[in-house]
Amino acid sequence: MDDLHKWLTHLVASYLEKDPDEISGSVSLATYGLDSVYAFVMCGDIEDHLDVRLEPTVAWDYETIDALADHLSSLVEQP
Amino acid sequence: MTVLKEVAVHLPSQRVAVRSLQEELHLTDVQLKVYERFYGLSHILREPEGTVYDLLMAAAGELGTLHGLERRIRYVIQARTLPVATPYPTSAVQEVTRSLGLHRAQAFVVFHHACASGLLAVDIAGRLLERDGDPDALALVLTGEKTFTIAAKMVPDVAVNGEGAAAILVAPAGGRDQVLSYATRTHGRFSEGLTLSGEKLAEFGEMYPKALAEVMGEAADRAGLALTDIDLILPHNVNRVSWVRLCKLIGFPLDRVFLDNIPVTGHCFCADPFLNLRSACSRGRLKPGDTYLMAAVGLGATFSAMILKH
Repeated sequence: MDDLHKWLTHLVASYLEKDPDEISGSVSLATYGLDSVYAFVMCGDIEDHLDVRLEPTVAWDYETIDALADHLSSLVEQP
Repeated sequence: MTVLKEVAVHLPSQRVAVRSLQEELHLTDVQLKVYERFYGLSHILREPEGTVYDLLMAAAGELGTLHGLERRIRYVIQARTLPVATPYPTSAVQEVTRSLGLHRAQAFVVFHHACASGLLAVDIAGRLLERDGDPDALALVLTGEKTFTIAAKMVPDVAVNGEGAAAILVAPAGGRDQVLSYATRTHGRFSEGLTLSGEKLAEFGEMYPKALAEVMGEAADRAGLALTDIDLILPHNVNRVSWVRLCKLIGFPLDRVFLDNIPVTGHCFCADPFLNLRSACSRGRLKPGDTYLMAAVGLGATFSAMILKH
């Protein structure tokens, strides 16, 4: 979970061209200015990283890194 | 009561991969990846040598029932997304009207609802025919556009546009597809259309599924139906993900939205719902008695839904 949260934070930081320390897990991605195109790119990168299939609406449904990490953790733990 | 007596389409000859348009459309690698992987875009259709006149004539030429009915056509309505200025007296819709021998018809253009103008044209045709009171009178709605400029070739981060065209014969009675209701709403604060940016663009993105759901619900109410009664939604072909999002919002099964044409035709301006009607019929997705909903959104921003019985 911590690794996944850290990986997501670095991923979002790379899109925003910010330092990961500047990214809070509890702030909505939209607040950071992550537009819809990058929300989809993030979905694609997550799929590649975790080898899962995601609903493309996942970034709308889980608006923060904290919520997204929780969701993805439960997803990868499923048998 | 407005009915669609016949709907015909023209699918242009040239099949173009969206991937091959990356440079022409100034798409970044990231955008291309999103278009292909999440938007469900793959190809579009173009008619490289054809004009708007050619597209409209080709679609009208596919109408099997038009021949012999020319004197009954009272109105020819061209539904456009993009307003086009041409030197007087050049007018594609007037030329098509003359070429088809529709000498008793008044011809004009509607573009005020942008990509939702096709549904607007059907509604106007029905109202005019009803007002006239002649049960034999007909109207012809024509739609299909050229993708000359970058603004006409794509809606940035939303869709890639193609040149599919449609011709719709509208009657006051006696057709196979009966209009049950029509709902439309224009949110004028987004009138900047393609030039929306910043917070306003984000606001538009946020309200888009809600605004479309609102007119779909309103059309269902007017038809005395619930949205769950709709057998098939014939959408605009902008992209797949917008329909995934909308279906999730309203709890409508995605498999009852006809998305088959998105990777084939791209977004063909006002023609999308009519292209989808023809495809859905030919693939057996609509049977007699089914109700279906045509949906369209025009930049500017107009949200429209029309419910019909097949």
